Amino acid sequence: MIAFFDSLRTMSFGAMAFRFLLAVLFGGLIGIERERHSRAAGLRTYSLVCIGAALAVMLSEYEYAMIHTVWADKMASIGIGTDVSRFGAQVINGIGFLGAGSILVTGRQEVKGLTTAAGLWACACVGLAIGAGFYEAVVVAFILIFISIRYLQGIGTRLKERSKNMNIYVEFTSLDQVAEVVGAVKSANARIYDMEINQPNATSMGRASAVMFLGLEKETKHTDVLTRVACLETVTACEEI
Amino acid sequence: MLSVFDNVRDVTFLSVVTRMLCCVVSGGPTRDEREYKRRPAGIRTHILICLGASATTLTSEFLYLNMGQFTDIARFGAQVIAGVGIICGGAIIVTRHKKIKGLTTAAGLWTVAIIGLCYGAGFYEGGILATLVMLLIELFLAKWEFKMMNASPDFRFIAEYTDPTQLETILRILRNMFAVIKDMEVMRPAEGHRTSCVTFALTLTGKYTAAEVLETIRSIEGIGDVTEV
Repeated sequence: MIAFFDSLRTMSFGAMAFRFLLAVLFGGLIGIERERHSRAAGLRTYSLVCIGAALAVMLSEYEYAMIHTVWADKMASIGIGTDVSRFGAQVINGIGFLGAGSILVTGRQEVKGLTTAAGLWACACVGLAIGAGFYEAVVVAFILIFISIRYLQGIGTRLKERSKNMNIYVEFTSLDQVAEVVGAVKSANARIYDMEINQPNATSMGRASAVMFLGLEKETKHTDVLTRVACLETVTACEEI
Repeated sequence: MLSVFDNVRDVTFLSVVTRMLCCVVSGGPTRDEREYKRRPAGIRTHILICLGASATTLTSEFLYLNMGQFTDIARFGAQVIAGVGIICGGAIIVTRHKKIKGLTTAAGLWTVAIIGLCYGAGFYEGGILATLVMLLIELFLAKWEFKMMNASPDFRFIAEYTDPTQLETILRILRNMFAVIKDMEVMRPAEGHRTSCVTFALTLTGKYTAAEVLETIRSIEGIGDVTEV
């Protein structure tokens, strides 16, 4: 371990202040990066979670320090100390719930918010390391998490854009129009691998919908397929998912 | 650690009062911005969560220090962190436009709960520092955050049109102005109305700004309302 950090691993007021600032910096940078892509969680969300997690571990360390100094005689008579990882362990749990609240499954068979949930959770876990004064791990984790969020996202979008597969959600006025939609898709040289048709029901305002899994020709653009379908008179909504 | 607080580190009547008052004081300012924006979690919610959390660590210390009973003093408090996580998860809203709201409020509430735990345990330094840092974020970083948001290359807009050729014109404009379409949704209303509505999610890759793109689209003949969302 790097000796330079040793003075910052104590429970002095200055060392604690340093950990808080590090938590804000870490959470803030990751949050800003997520926010640039208009995500639900931003600078404030990430830094709050990071501060909270760091604080939980510092609280454990405080109790541990007190039990071994001021309350040492109590501990000797009762015969149990405290487990320093108890508070931190629940952070992993608690942020899991918080993340779960931000994941949504739309009526169109797509899952949203999973990366936000995973990012928040990772941020909380690094917050734990900050609170514990494990700065070496924090630095490495920060670099890797930042790279994943910043660069891998672009690669992901580009791959999706150029992908020969695409899933679309189409909503139309009645089931009679399925053939028309299929025709429009085929006119864009797309093959239909699979298709799920949903009957009109009370929640869909009497409209039928379909989720289609398509295979495209190499030069076909995703937006071309969408425009062709969207231009049909009977189609009320159409979206790539 | 600060020696000012040495008198209130054990569980006495004085320290119980001090700790609980600290919770009320800390729970107040950390929510200021939120109440103003009429978000669901207001001052009372924050203070209640903070006070409740402090009661758990206080009780643990009371059992251990005053009653001399066999317990790990972190056990009660630890469950608060998970429990409040569940409450906060429920405070997150999904809007009709498939956007998440209230996640920051939820995270703030969760952090306030941990601040409450610290006060209850007599870890005043942690509570005070965390409150200060939260205020710092609310007062200064939040402004910077909004500036960053405005500079974002991603934006969404809704346009109303009456004729499919107008949709094709919009698509051509977007292509010419180097706006990459990430998502597109067309909505047609019930019979009797002619206006259709299209929602685009875009990333700007060229030199044009969102305002310029919207301005060009507004100039299309016969186009309805064009709004950024």
